[in-house]
Amino acid sequence: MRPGVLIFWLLAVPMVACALLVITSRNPLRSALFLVAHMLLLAGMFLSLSAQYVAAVQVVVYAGAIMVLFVFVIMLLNLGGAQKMDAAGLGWALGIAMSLGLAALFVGTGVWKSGLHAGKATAKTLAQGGTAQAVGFALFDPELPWLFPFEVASIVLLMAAVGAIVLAKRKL
Amino acid sequence: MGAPTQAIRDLSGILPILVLWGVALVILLGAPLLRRGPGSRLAAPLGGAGALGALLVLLRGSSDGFGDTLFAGAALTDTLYSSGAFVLLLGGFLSVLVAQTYLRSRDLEKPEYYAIMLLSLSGALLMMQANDLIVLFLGLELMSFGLYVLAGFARTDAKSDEAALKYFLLGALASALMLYGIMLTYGVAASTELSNVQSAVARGALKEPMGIAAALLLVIGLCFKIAAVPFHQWSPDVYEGAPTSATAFLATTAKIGAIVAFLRVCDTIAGGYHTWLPAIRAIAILSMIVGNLIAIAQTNVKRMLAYSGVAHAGYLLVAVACMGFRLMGTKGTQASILAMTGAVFYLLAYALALIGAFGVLAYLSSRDKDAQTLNDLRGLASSQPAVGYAMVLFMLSLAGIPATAGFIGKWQVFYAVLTGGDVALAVTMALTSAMGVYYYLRVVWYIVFEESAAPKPSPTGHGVEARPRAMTGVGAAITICCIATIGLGILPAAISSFLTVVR
Repeated sequence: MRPGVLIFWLLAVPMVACALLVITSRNPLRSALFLVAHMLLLAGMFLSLSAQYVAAVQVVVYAGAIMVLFVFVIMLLNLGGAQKMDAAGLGWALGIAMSLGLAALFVGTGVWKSGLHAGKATAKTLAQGGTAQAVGFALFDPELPWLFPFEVASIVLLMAAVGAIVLAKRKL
Repeated sequence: MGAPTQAIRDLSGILPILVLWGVALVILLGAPLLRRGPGSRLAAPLGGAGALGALLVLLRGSSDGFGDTLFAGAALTDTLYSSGAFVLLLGGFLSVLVAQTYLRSRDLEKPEYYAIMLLSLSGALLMMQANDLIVLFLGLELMSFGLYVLAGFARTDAKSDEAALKYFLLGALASALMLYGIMLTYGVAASTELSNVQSAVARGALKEPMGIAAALLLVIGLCFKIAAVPFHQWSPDVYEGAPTSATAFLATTAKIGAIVAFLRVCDTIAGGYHTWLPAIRAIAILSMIVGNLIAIAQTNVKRMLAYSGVAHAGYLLVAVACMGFRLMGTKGTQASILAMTGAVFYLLAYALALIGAFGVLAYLSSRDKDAQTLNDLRGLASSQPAVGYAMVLFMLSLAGIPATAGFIGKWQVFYAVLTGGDVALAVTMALTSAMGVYYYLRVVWYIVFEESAAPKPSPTGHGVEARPRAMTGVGAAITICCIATIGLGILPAAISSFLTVVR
């Protein structure tokens, strides 16, 4: 087994296990911790794809900042205790069937002769592709189509912030 | 010289979006002044000015620079975009008029409502202008976020909260599925730009498992947004729970944005029609049958319009299916172009009738009564003839009765699908339309032939506020919808210069 493949499996198996534990744990705090573990492993996956910058952002923003907010909200709502979840028969079965179907779809498309095309990446572009500089050039170069969606994303975030305040604040 | 002129050209291509963003930011920044006191009367006019301004900018700019890609291929301008945007912004303006009166009478008015509306409209415009699936997705999210918030705008009303939560959760699921589809598209096409996707499809990408999965996930994601069967479960609860003005807005905006994006996506992947066309046909037929059948059983007008919306999603999907005929000879190409123009006209007729109908419900609502059920409409023709007969007209247009805009829209789509040679879809469309007439006419029956349940509002006390409201926004919206519905039903050519899609 090539080392790259070995690393992939070493990261992928615990990653999927953590994701499953996030949704099966009864304690929300435990779910949050498994989510942190999942995101850290995902950062490792990015690293193994030589995307250092994305890996760092994944740790700082998702595993760090966003998870702090998650835990904060859980503590604030005092959801520490185990919550009873009533597993209604049909809905539960449908949910499992749907997720198994999706999983089969993704695994299937990956395993069968898929139409995956080799990207334009070479060893050289891969080596510099993951740095903050390379990501920055890709995002802000007006010759590339990514500048516009990047700016639009800021409006999407503004919309989300305004919406959250409007819905959450009792008296504006 | 090259770079700055290019930037100006790019920005002028998205000028309507920039106008919407600008006015939305003005409203948000000025919110402290617009919230109470004399400034509170200005919030709605500002919102209306934003939508109208974007519409005027669109009409002024629609002579040159078509068929161009903007921002290095992220966005584009073409006649499908400009005609869809015309319908969308007109609907947005009318929705502002409805909201102005309704929010005021229900004591819900906040300046943020209008800012969110404008941002949501800009998201729908982005969906129509997207030349890249990433931009399409961002537009979809920008539009949807606003619609979730508007659905839950009546915060103290449990039904409104429920509507927002249901819409959000199912919408998030749909977005996730669509994002998976975009990811797999990147897998087969090594790009998310539509032209590259098109050439990948031409190379046979949709014959591979990953391509098939990508196409189906994209279709499912968009079908959620237009509430097509079996992805329609959210729509009745959301339509019913959301404040009536928000229902009018979200029903039209989501449908216009998603259908135009749908037309574009399916036009792009027309080369692989054998993969997705059967799915779209099945969803269209199911939507037409299920939507019309369940609508018959509804006594709540908002829920009935939700199921009728499902049926209309089915009719519009017939037009989307026509995109698959594009590469099947000259007849097929002709059918696909006819279907694009037809779908946009259909959306216009639908938006006018739907905003008009919700406008009538909004008109009848007051602080302590939210008009929703058939009983609320009982005997309206004798108690308030103008509003009553306006509602009758909107129902006739939704049913597709000749001499209304709804008939012309339906006829254009019907004609397109017949040109494409798909008799099964055409027959289903005709039969289910006939089925739909029943429940629209039941509303008419309640308005015209049933006795008014409540005594006429006395000129003193609570009843008095029903009168002067005719002068405010919702009255104007109902009037415009009425005139346009009849006008377009008799003279559809009057507007064809804005609405014809050219390729």
